[in-house]
Amino acid sequence: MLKKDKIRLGIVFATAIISILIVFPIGNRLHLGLDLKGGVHIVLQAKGTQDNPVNNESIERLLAILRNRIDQYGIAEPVLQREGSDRVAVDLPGMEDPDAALELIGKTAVLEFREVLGETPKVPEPPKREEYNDDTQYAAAMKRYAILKSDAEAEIKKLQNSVANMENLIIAKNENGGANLLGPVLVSGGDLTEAATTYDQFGKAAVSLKFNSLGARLFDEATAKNIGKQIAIVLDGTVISAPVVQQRISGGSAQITGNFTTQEAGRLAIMLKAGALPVNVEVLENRAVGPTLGQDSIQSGITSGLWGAGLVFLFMLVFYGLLGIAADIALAVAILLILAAIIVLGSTLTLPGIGGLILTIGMAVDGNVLIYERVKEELRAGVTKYAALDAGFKKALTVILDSNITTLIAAAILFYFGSGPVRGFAVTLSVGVIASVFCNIVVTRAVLSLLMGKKKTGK
Amino acid sequence: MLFKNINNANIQFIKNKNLFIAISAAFVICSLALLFTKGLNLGVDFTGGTVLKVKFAEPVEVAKVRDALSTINQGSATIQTFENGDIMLRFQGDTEELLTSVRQTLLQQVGKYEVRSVDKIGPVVGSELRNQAATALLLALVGILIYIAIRFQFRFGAVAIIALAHDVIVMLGAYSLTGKEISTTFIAAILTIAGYSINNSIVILDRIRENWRQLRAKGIALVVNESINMSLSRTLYTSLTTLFPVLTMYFFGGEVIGNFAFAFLIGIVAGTFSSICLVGSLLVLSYEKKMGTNKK
Repeated sequence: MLKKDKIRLGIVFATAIISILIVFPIGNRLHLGLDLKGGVHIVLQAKGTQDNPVNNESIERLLAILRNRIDQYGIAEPVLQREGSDRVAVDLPGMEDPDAALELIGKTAVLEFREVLGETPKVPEPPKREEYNDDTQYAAAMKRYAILKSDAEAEIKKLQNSVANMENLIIAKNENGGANLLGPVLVSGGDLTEAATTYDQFGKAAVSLKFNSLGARLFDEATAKNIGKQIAIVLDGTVISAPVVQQRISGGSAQITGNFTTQEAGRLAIMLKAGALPVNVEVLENRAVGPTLGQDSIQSGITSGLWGAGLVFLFMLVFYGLLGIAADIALAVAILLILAAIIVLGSTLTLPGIGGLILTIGMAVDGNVLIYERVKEELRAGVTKYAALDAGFKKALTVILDSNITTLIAAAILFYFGSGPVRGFAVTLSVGVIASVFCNIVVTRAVLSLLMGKKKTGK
Repeated sequence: MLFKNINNANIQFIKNKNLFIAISAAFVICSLALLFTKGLNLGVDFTGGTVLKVKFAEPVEVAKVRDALSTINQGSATIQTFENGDIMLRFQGDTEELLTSVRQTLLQQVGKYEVRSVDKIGPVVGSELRNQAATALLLALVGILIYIAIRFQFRFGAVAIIALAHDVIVMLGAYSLTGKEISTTFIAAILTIAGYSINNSIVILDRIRENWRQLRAKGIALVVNESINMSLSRTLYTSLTTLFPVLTMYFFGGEVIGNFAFAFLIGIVAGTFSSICLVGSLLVLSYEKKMGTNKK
């Protein structure tokens, strides 16, 4: 065996073993779609205000933004549709964390930067029972806390009344249990071009922002004017933090910190990037829903596909003999690789998706057919078996690469410009193409060198 | 060996190029005519319809509800059960009569139930998503055209795109003709067939490119004809291996996967025909036209 063959064989073994480790035991590793496994059925009720009424346009925008958020969160194959005139039904396939999904789609996510004009006193945390020796002391502490709290609330009320008739001024609750009196909006989330999760200098999760040119200018002016003063970052009417401006910030980048975990920061970044919902929403229904397909149609769908795949294996064996064995082994490795990729990428499998994969199996042997037909041509031309194999691989290589690169280009464009199901399709298509080309060219070659090599020494 | 003669085939494809082009054109024209007159039977995913949530007195099987709905042509409705036994039905159409007939059918064939809610629902694939998918597909075609133009010749790319359009239009025509319902997965089916079609064209075009240097000696018609014959066995074998799963899924896969497989069945047959008969014919035709105008 040549050194090149040995390296090739090594690569093949390594990939096969890694794939096997990823794929088995298959158990719950595959994400199954709404049709196979069901998921969560959520109904959102749109709540309009005078400024943002519920109408056709705002519901359409609501749908688009929700879809965008769900796409970016990486949940494949959701179903979003309008229900009635002012509701949206969202079906998400088998989720590990339904609460996170609800957080993601139920929040309006209006982000504003406002000047801080005043603050009510801080309300401390409510007393905890374990901090007191006996019940009477605890009750007394609770009483003191209640007075403190109602005082603070009265203060907030007073503040609210004092600005009731003033435009652009709002009172927003903050994390300290008190509230801030805030000036007009300096910059809003509508002027963002990007948002991403990051970490501040203390290693706490934060969200980095990039403004468009208008937002950058406004932010620059706002920070220049408020050096040494607080600017509040307000999300959906609540102050999430109110840092003191240290210096003028030009360039259109900012960072918001607050009390959030990495996951929360990630969700916030997605929401800010996808945009605020045009109207507020309220969750009407949130419950688990079964698969859209009955167990028997799932069964017959999958069984029929497996029979078809079996025929492909058989065909290669009958038509190409020893070469067919190599092709079948390569095909088995390709199937493993594709499954491993689906698991790693977290793609959601639907029944038609499985059908598509089985079709990929039929198309994946195309590379082998191309190579073997070339080999046969060479044999007919009278060259030896080994020379024919070499020439067959070499001559078929260009066409295999050309046809598959074309497909990959198309898939890349579909991924970039498409959304939802089209994107998911582009990913599976690319995975299938890459796996089958690798198996056609590398795995087949390696297996053949093994099979033929043994025969050769046997002679 | 079976098919032995395929390996040494010498079938006169190019001689009949006008016939092949005429057949393809006829299929495309008929398909377009069907699409514009009869149109496509777009499913609830595209058109929207009604969502009905009910609770049956006795727990029922989804399959039983589906069978009942099939009797009034709503067999492709989306039917799901909730954990507490409520059933959600989403079906095409939103008229009062339809709702009444659905409710009566359920009562007569499945059992007593109470209605939890009835609402109109919008499409899952709205016009925005549909337009976006179409734009993405068009851009992908441009990308393919550019790649083939660079690796081969612009003419080759154009021919491959025409063959692709032929396959997809015939596929749509078949759906229009049979009135089969189109669901979201149909988008994926179209894209897969597009990829398959391009693959097939490139295999033939690659052979033609390889034999291009014999052009002067043999002439375009002979070079193309030989190239088609040389790759004939591969074209047929690959069509066959792809057809195996398609056929088993079509005949034994049940309604959902069978409908999906039908798209491929048509696409593969059209794709095999276009790559053997249409790609070469169009290439020779356009080449001879160019030569003709040059001579003038």
